[in-house]
Amino acid sequence: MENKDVRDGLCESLPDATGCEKGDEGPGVLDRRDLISHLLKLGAGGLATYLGAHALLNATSAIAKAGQQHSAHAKQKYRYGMVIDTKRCVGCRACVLACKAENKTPPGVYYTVVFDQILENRPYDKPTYMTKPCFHCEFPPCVDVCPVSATYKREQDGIVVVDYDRCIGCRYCMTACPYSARWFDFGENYPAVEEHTPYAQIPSQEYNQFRKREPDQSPIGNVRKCMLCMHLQDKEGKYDRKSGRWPACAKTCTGKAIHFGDFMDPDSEVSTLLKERQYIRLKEELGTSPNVYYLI
Amino acid sequence: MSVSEWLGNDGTIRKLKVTFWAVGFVLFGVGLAGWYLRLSTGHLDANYGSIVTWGLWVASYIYFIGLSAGSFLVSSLVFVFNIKKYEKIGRLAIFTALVTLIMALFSIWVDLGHMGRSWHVMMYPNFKSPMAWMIYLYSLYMLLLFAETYFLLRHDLVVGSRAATLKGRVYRWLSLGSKDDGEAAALRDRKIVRVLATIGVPLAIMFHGGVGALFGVVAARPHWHSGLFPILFLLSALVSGGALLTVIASVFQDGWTRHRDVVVSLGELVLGLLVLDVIFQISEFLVTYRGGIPGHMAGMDMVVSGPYAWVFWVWQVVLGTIIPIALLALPTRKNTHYVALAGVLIAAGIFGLRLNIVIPGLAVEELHGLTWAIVSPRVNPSYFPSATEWLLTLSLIGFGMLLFGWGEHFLPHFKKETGEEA
Amino acid sequence: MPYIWDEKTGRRRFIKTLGGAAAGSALALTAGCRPTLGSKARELKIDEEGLRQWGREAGEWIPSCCNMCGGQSGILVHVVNGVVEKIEPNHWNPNNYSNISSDFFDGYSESFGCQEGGAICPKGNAGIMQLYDPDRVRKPLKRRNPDKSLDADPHWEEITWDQALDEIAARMKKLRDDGEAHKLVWMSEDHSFTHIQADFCKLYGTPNYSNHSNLCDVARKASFKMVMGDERPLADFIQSKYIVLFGWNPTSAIKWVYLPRILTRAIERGARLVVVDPYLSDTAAKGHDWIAIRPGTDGALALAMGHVILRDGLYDRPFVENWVTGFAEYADYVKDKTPEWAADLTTVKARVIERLAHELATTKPALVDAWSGPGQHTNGVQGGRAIAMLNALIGSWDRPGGMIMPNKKGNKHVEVEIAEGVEKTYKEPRLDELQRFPVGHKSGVYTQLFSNIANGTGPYPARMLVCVFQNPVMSIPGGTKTVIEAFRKLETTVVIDTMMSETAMVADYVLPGTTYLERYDLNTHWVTWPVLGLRQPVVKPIFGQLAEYETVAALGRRLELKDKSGREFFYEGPLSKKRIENLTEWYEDFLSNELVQGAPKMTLAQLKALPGAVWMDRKGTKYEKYEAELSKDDLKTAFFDGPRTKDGTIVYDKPKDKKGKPIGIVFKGKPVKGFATPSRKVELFAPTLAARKDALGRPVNPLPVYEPRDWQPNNQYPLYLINWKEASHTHSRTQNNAWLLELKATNPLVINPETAAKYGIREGDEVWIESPHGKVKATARLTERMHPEVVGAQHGFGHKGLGQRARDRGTNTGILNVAKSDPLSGQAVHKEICVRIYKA
Ligand SMILES: Nc1nc2c(c(=O)[nH]1)N[C@H]1C(S)=C(S)[C@@H](COP(=O)(O)OP(=O)(O)OC[C@H]3O[C@@H](n4cnc5c(=O)[nH]c(N)nc54)[C@H](O)[C@@H]3O)O[C@H]1N2
Ligand SMILES: Nc1nc2c(c(=O)[nH]1)N[C@H]1C(S)=C(S)[C@@H](COP(=O)(O)OP(=O)(O)OC[C@H]3O[C@@H](n4cnc5c(=O)[nH]c(N)nc54)[C@H](O)[C@@H]3O)O[C@H]1N2
Ligand code: SF4
Ligand code: SF4
Ligand code: SF4
Ligand code: SF4
Ligand code: SF4
Ligand SMILES: [Mo]
Repeated sequence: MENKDVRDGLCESLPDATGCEKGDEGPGVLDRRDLISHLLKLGAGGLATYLGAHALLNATSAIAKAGQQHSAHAKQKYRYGMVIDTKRCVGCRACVLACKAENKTPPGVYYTVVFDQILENRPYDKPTYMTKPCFHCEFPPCVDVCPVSATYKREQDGIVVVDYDRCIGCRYCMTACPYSARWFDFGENYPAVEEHTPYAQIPSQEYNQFRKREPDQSPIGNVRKCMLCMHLQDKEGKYDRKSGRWPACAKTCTGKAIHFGDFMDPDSEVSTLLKERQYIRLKEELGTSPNVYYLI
Repeated sequence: MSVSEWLGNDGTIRKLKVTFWAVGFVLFGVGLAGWYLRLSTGHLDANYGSIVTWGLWVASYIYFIGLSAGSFLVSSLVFVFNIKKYEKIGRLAIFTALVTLIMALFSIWVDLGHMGRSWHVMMYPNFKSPMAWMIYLYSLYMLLLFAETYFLLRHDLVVGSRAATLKGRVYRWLSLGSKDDGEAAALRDRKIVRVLATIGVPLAIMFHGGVGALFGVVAARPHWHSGLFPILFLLSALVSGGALLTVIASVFQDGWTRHRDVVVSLGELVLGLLVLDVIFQISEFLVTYRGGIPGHMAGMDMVVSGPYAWVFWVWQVVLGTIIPIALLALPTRKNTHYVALAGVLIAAGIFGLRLNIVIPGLAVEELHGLTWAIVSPRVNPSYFPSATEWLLTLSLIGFGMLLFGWGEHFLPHFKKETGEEA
Repeated sequence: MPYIWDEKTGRRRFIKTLGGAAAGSALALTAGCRPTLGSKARELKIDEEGLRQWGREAGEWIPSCCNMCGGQSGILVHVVNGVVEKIEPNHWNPNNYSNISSDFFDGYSESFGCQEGGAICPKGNAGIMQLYDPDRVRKPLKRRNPDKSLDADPHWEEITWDQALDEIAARMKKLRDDGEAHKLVWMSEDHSFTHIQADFCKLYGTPNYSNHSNLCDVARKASFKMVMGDERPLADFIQSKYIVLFGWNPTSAIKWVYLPRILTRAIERGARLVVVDPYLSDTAAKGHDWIAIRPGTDGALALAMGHVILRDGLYDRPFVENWVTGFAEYADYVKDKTPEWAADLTTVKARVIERLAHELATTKPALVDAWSGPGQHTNGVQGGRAIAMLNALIGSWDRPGGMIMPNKKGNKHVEVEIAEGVEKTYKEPRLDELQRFPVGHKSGVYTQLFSNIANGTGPYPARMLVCVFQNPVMSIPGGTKTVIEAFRKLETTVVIDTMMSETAMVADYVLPGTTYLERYDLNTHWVTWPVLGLRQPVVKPIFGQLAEYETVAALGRRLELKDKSGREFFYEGPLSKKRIENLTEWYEDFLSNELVQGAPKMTLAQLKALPGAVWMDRKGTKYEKYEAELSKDDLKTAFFDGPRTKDGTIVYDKPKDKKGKPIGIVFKGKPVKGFATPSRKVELFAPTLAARKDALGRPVNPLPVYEPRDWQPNNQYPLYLINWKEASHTHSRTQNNAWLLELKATNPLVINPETAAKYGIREGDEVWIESPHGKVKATARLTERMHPEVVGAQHGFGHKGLGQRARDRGTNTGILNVAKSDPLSGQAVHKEICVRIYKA
């Protein structure tokens, strides 16, 4: 049918109507076949297959993922997190700077910050202090939105990390984190580094990658976040307070408000605290299930 | 002579085109400074931070890509639904879609922390991320646009390639070796175009809906987290695209001289879409405010009463909506100049809308006191684009204008599209 | 028949190009492409080489002591390849954990130290930025521009250390040869390398050596000393159940970093915390009660509480009967000091005062402490006494959970024997007329000193001044006027500072100082039992500059200073008794000697070897020391001023006529230590004072009388202005520290919204603060945390110097004040200001 009016159209537009006898279906048939065959050749087909290939891959990786969910728990040795005692926190912000000192974060990047206005309208505007690192959520929305799988949750200990070499710096994850725990490294430097004092030569031990601050080199241009001072883990992935291999913020805390540990170990300090004390987690309703609890 | 007469004659149109070129060149040239700064200093003198982490460049990106999807869908009226009265702008619409898409891609590219790694998005896609889907979809869409443009122009390119001029040589190159200028071949071209256009429609809907989804799925940002978002994105895309085309038709398709009807009917189309868009917008506001959850209202509050409320009231509402609706609804709707004016206003208005989607969604503190908790220019809820950001965006606009102008001027005459013979 | 592609070649070419391209790219993609559903975990690459070179195991961890503030907390410094990489808490140092030994040793191990590990405050963490601040003074500087004002460019000339030391020594020599050694004024911070400076001044022959304590807490020192004989009792928070703090902000003005822990831990263990303060301080934020008091009226509140406690007979009878004198006089005095009386003065409701008094007297153990808040006013000493006396009424002195008298045995300052000839100038009266202050402190009286120099008053004119490790221009009330004026009057002024402080900016010579990471010190810690921590250079002075003590010694050598025995003091090692050319080695010997002679009885090297480089007396905290019997050798030469077994007989170390000093009292028939007051008891009435006059010639009241402070608001200047310290900064010294500035970048003027409304001031407005002595701009910060009659700001901002980042940031409220001290102790009255505010 369509074929027909096309031909009519054609006949109209042709100066001489040769090869336009009635009933000559030929070209039409031929055309369609060729048309398709050519379309194929024109690569659209190639792309179609490509899409198909992806659909397939998705399916497979979906299955893989399903399987991996199991193995993940099998593989998981620790569930690291924090229990932060708001009654002990005095809002001194030592944790903020200890983290800076540990990870050499630049101006504008703070793996933890201390809130004092988290509770609104308290009588006399009485502050409530609360330090807020990354919560290493069980279901981290920041991870799911990363277009290039640069940020992910480690299977062995649940730490949410950023692969600086993979990350393209799109900052989608920052919009997706409900807790503002992610920070973009704009490439600014502190005077001690900018002015090339001896301090400038010290790299950041973060992820044991020992990166120096050089223009356009990662982590500049990346999104950065608390990684529970992962570089302080031993080969087995354990932390050890006695040898100083312990999150810097917890180490320095003047109120001794930051308890760090493994929630998978039922006898760990953090697990015990959760048994003994009342706690809250922020924005439970979002289903992120943070691994940082606040004692109240 | 009266203004309308003045506007009405070809001489003026020519003047307008000259101005268009001039503006294009100036913007592009001046804007290059922005490129220089971006490439030499990275993100240092960008004004977004870790609170408002997406700024002008992302807003421009969704704006341009909206224009692209919009014009493409309008073009489908011609190539899929065969609506004759829009035929005149069919080709230009496709080409516009292509140009604006390129602008969009540049805009998002410079926003990346690591421009050099943009290929990662192809190599390591995470298909749980709406962004990954979006990227793949518009890559397809781009190829499709190229193909469709090619088949729209192939015949004329072949014809043109005969000339021994430089133009001829370029045409020969562009025609990718095709030699057949027979009408039969031209006919096949049109069939292919129709098929491509038909594939394109769902694709365009998917990917631009996808852009909406990219924001919509972010549960952390109540201002974005709404089921309406994908649809809103599509609608405003159509509106902006249509609006832009009325202007283009006016200037480049003799819309004020021979083909007034095209512009007028485009005006009707745009009006319809705009009204629909406004209805959706209003429902967003109503639901949010009646719902009365502070977190959800915060974003809206920022839009209607924040430091940049004028963007909403003056730019979006008055200039971008009320005036154009009036122009398109009142008798002025018959006057192509007013329709074109409405087009300009709407297209500009939607840009305000884009800004008001991206920035307030981020500027609202996720936790009360966050922007107090630490003192840093990067921890700042109020955002105004830096010189670099503006300049670079202007250069993209200039670039788009030049590319479009070049195509319009250099490529086989779009007028001949409907084969209405000379 | 027609075909899309006319001739094959064209077609093939076409297909090749487009199809090929498409397929090719598709291929390329699928080849390297790693699509996933969800972001899959991978292992991140690590840099083994970096780990070896810079990791935690690389370099060394050197134990030392912080000095970002005067707290001296213990630190462990990671030094890699000659660079300070990080500073961490030193868990062997009690100063980082607790001031009570039982708490500290609970779970203590040699291998790790205290159970939970130590802590350091933000300033301590930011020490690195202080060390590597690019704005530091690097070379000795000599002034070329005679115009000494903060806006004038001094036209510094960089000179060599030798030239600097020679010229300065020459001027000192000249002074001494003119027989005017006493006209050299030497001032220094009060716990770093002070002994050597004191020795220098003594050997040189000037009595005018002072320390910053009189800017700090000498009012508190005087108050407590008069009441119970100890200058600086320490609050045992952790064992206490009821804690009342008058104008003290320990969880934020963190002097000793154990404070936040022991205070929050006390609350956790059920203690109730009451904070008396016009501002809801960061400490009040942790408290149960915030008592918003009108500035300068703490004495009245304390007296009214005493009134209630006596009226209702709630005081600790046994303690009062055994250990308190002047009870009758006190009781008589507070009879009419009713809550209603105090309510009018303090704006604290009468029933609140009743409740506080009851809770305080009925909860055990309880304590009452105060610091700068009540002290830095002209009526601070008497107010402080009234507060201190509450501890007597509730019997909290030196008991667990109360106010403990610390045992501060540490390194010994071996007094130098002064050579003849030098005595003459050394015996001259002090320029600051310290003797006129009845309960003055050896640290002197800066306000008086600088006023005298500026106004040409005082016993004689000064000619030369050396200022070490202080910034009087910013730290003294009205310093921007008086101190700068004084510097103009002086012939030669030398400032030793790490930064270009405001004081340095108006000096003739500026010598680069060392930060605490570049030098030595011995720190006898402020805990309740003998503990001494070592500060040592973790890196060499980064500009090759001399440490302060080396500068002192170098000058001493140039002046050929000798002691009585004629030995060249700054050459001969006091321990080795050998001549030591190297300045550092000489000082190490000097410190070793102080250690060997002092409680640790060990050399510097041995101290370094101890875990955390901290020496501790394991016997720990002792309580109720006043009931401890006098030791045998105490009693050998002892003289009893009455029957040997009659309670109340005062025991002297030697006969009174032989200048014997009281060392104890007979209690329950036995000679015990008692309190270090003339009566060896807690004195609610101080007869010895009755004879004295204050600096203004007014008789001193032996009772803890409440008298309104001098400067009261009037309708022209209707508001009280106060200031305070916060965890983010130290005084006027850290406002150029890039890290700390991110915690607090400026000091807005805190105003109660009610008050602000009265003056039409909105949040964020620029406002003028004006007093009769000047006006300064500030940014308004509206909060209910402030008493409606009061405005206030954090101290330390509003620099004209220090460094690029500090300059013109925030507000210096000192400008609104005059160089003034309280007439009893000489305490600078930083918090006694009245102002009006209006929109700028
Ligand atoms: N972070 C930090 N810590 C420090 C220091 C520092 O500079 N920075 N300095 C150290 C030194 S040297 C010292 S002396 C201590 C001082 O420590 P603090 O004694 O706490 O000194 P301030 O913070 O000046 O004053 C304490 C409180 O007194 C309140 N106040 C003011 N006027 C009055 C009044 O009339 N009555 C009452 N009841 N309260 C009043 C203020 O609002 C403030 O909250 O801090 C030490 N610790
Ligand atoms: N308005 C107001 N004024 C106050 C107070 C207040 O609460 N309000 N508080 C008062 C109190 S409690 C005190 S203790 C005083 C303190 O007042 P100051 O003793 O003057 O202490 P800072 O203001 O910190 O100034 C210290 C100076 O020494 C320099 N410095 C720092 N470290 C070193 C070093 O290692 N070596 C050398 N050579 N120099 C160094 C710093 O750069 C700075 O210039 O301030 C008092 N002034
Ligand atoms: S807190 Fe934010 S960044 Fe951290 S895991 Fe959760 S979502 Fe991700
Ligand atoms: S910024 Fe980096 S980590 Fe975050 S989403 Fe983009 S690519 Fe992933
Ligand atoms: S755990 Fe480590 S990285 Fe995370 S906030 Fe604390 S110090 Fe920073
Ligand atoms: S260091 Fe501890 S007490 Fe200080 S702010 Fe951080 S969490 Fe709170
Ligand atoms: S309180 Fe902070 S600044 Fe002061 S000595 Fe201790 S750690 Fe250092
Ligand atoms: Mo002090």
